[in-house]
Amino acid sequence: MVLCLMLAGPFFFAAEVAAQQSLPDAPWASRAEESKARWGDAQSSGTVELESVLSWGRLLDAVQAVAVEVDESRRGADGGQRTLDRTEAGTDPDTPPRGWIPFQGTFGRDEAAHLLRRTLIGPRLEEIELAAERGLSATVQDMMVPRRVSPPGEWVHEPVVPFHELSDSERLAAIRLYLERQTQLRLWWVDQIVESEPDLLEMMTLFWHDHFATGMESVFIPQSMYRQHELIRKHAFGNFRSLLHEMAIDPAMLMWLDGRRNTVVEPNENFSRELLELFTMGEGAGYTQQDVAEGARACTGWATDGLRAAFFRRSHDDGLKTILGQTGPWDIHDFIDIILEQPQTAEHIAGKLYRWFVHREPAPDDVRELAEVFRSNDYEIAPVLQVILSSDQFYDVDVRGAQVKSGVDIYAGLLRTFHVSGYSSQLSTHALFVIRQMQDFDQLLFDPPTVAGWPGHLDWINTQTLPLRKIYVDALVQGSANGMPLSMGINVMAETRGFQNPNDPYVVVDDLALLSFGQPPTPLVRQRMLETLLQGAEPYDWSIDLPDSRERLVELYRYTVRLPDFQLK
Amino acid sequence: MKRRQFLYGLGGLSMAGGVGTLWWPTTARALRGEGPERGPVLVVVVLQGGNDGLNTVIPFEDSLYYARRPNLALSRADVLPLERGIALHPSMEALLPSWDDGHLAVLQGVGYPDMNLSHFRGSDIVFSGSDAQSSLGTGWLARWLETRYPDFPGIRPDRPMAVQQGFSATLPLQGDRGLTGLVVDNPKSFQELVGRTFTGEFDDSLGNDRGDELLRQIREIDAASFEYAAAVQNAAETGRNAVDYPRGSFGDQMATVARLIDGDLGTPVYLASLGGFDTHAAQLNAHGDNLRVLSTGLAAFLADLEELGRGEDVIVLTVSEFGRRVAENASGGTDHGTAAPWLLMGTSVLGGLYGSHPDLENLDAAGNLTADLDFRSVYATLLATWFGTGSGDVAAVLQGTFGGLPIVLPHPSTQGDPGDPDDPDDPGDPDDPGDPGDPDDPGDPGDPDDPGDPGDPDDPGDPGDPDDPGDPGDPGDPGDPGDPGDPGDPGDPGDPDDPGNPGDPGDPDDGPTDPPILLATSLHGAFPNPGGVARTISFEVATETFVRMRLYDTMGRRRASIYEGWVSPGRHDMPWSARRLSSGVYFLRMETSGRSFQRKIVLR
Repeated sequence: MVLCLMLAGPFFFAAEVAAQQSLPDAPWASRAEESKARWGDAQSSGTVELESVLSWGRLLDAVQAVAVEVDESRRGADGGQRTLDRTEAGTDPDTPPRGWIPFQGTFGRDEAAHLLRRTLIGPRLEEIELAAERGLSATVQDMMVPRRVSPPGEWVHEPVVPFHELSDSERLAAIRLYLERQTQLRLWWVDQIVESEPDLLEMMTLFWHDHFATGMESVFIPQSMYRQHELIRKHAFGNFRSLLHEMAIDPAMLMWLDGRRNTVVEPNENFSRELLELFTMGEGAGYTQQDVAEGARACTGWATDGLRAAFFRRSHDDGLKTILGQTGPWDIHDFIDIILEQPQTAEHIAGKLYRWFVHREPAPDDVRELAEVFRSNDYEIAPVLQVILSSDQFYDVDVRGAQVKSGVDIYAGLLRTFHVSGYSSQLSTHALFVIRQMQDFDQLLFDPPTVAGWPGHLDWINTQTLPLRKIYVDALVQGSANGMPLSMGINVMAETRGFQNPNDPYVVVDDLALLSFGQPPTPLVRQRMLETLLQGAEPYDWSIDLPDSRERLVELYRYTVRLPDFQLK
Repeated sequence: MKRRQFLYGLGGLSMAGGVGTLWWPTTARALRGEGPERGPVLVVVVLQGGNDGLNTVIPFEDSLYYARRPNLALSRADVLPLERGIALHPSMEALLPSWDDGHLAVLQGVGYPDMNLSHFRGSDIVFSGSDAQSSLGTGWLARWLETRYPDFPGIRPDRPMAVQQGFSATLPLQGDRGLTGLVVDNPKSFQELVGRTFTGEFDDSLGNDRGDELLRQIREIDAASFEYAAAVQNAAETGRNAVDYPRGSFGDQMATVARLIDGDLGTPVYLASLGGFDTHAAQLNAHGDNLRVLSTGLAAFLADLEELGRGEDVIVLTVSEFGRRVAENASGGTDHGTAAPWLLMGTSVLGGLYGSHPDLENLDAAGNLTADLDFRSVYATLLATWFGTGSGDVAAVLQGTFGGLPIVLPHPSTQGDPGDPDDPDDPGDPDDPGDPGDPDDPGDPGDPDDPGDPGDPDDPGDPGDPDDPGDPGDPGDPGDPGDPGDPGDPGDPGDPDDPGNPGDPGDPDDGPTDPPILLATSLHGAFPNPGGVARTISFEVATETFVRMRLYDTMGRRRASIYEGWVSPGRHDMPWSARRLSSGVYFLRMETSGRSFQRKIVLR
């Protein structure tokens, strides 16, 4: 449905409105022409009231002014220092290609544990055992079954507060409310992680959040951030083409990278540049500044009220653009389809998936081959994951334990692994304790440091975060922090009773190591763990029913989680 | 050791230049001929959960106190009166000797505007030294340490910059350039961190290159985190405790700090903590128990340092994120409040009451007290006066200028000649316009004409004004000039009521050839007080000892060196003329081997 409106604003002379909710779930057409058909008039449906269209600009300006204000006041908290992105690291020509041969070895507990450490945030012992029992193929298959979650509250549907119309005190109250909901949203995701099924949904949602790194401090509207998050979840292991098309006109993204300010009169290259540099082809992958500028023109004409996106034909530049060698009256979706025709795009995404799941220095040929899988499946993500997770090289001993646990792996993963309950997304002291860890470990969900996402890898660990990580896990083991009891804590007795044989000290040590490290412990570490558990007694004297077994287990767990080995997965 | 005769008045004045550098051998270390690094040390004790200030420093003559706390108020008969209607909680008896010696400053009503009642946020503010509105994300101590060690972290100082015990919030030590200290848990896990999980011994291989390489790098970072572990362990092993500490985590922490200081760790900042102050319910006994743990631990620590000859080098500050509600709640507890007293202790502390008597009548909308002393004034004073940090650096660290308080003397190592006019960084320079503590400085934010300024020494309306000559509860109150010390003081070696004391403490002729064993060493004061220029300084020593007698003003600036030399055992009444000193309040300080005493003097 087309709605023509005569508007008095500088850009909004008329509008064609495509409401965000009406977007189809169907896979995107692979050709630009088909896409144009889909995204042209035929796809424009839904209605936006004239008044709301008029007020969108003012509304979001006011919101973003608030965001800047709040952001400024917070800026000191991170020292203003941001590490440059390192997730875009290239391939390593020195790494010999391994090819994508399916894994033929024995899929035992160690292999199952390795698979789940890389795919779940905080795998549990029973999940590892079940996976080993069911085998590689069935386990991977079941990891990609779509699953829906409930939103954090009805507020995700609320229209954005008209900040510019409020009195100072109303405005302050609205800011407080939004800040509180931001915290709710962050904790809600932790809840989703802790309560999640043993599937790829949370890990892939984190992957795409890291990829399309959008910051809530700037966007400010919690319901916008939730909508983007919902979009990511919808396509987490679905189709990248669909995800990209919808992400390009996602309200939070339009705000984050100034898409809503990108008009025929005043083009803004912010989104176009990041689209090419970070979201698709990758830096230095063969596009030019001219492509960025022409692409920005293609992206003009979109506006948002925070919940919906709408296309305004009169603020769109409908002239001819030449992008990556193709000339036409391209719009944002044409631009994306042209990008998706470039082999670099599939390689960039495949390389990122490789580094996320396998290790940091993939062989160029392996990435190219993976990219082929991606493209030949029209950017379906699941087949790529299937290839990676079933491959011989994924289970290579050299790869195991060769990743640094992220902040989320520690602060949320540990809760999941050890069945820590008593945690709630309500704004309790203990929830704030988790928020504190997000900040301390430099992984505040919904606020990646830059549009490039978290630097990751060894940047997770420094002389500051390492002690903090140890202190956090130590607090969970002890059930107290800052001298105040935590209602959340690891029940070492119940956890250990869930081990294969809690009365065999070697089994206790090995099962705990399986849950804690990326690889089986070295003989020395294993010996030290055993000594910590036995405290001078003979192995055959250990029983979980000893009067001091809890105390000794606490010491064992504390010791284990403080080892450098614990930081790897 | 050559004995010198104690000659009254001869050369008694202005001897500073001659023997100022002499340091008497009081410690085993000094006797071993080792030169200790004697820099100033600050120990910050965090009272976690929000200490109930009103039941710590008690306005026991205020009927409103009893009216608002029908069940929680401490009885008048039980409290330990200090002065001016202010008393300590009965459980804090262990701190009375320090009070009597002038080594305990009670800072009343410490806080900041618009105090935050959240534990997390409140702690952040107190640790970072921010105001209620902004969030700094770095600790005030860390920023100061980064100023002091500008090459960190490229070049780490030889000694750990700070050691934090007992709690995991590292904000106090988080600087712009990283963690400025070691974080160790309680002594037990401290051992574990240093010994059992220190990764030096784990150089074995996982057997895969990629994993091994990562593990190696993390182990390196781990090693950097604990680079000082060996130094800490060494200091902890070589350091001693000369007294017994009360059992428990807090006593252990303080004992560890003393050991590290005695072991010459050379660290200027220590943090310790005591939890359990979040007393929402059934607080009466729990709070009293906690204050006893605090007081006995602090008393043991100070006594230990005196014994170890390091009393001069260390001051202790207690902080808490907030105080508690004036009115008790229905559960026999108190809810989160605002301003509360902080304590500053040590032989270099200028004891007394500072800040105003809590106003229990005019509470804020939530029923809370209004802060009287800004906590950043306390920080500014410690940095400027105690550590001798230049005023520009202090202002940079605290992101603003805060008036100084007359609560501490400069550390000997940071003290030049009193008020060197050529040293722009001299915190004691009265002519330095940037000096945060200069009461005569018109640019000083502590406006002397501001009746609400708690630190204004010239403000006659200020109940905490140390200059107020009419103040009946003045710690320099002569009281009984013949009182050789608190007879109830268990730490007093020369209890005059002890029948076994062979020496007559009042007899100046008591021969040095017959050294009394149990005589008190004490500074009685300068009499009359208040008085004019002609005074008699009265003191006594238990054994032949080296005595240094000096006069300081309320900003901690040395104004006169009265005597330095050996004195014989017994009581001494030394004539002294206070000529050339302007009228006002001064602190007379007597230093003997390992001990010091202070008395306030009001000069008319």
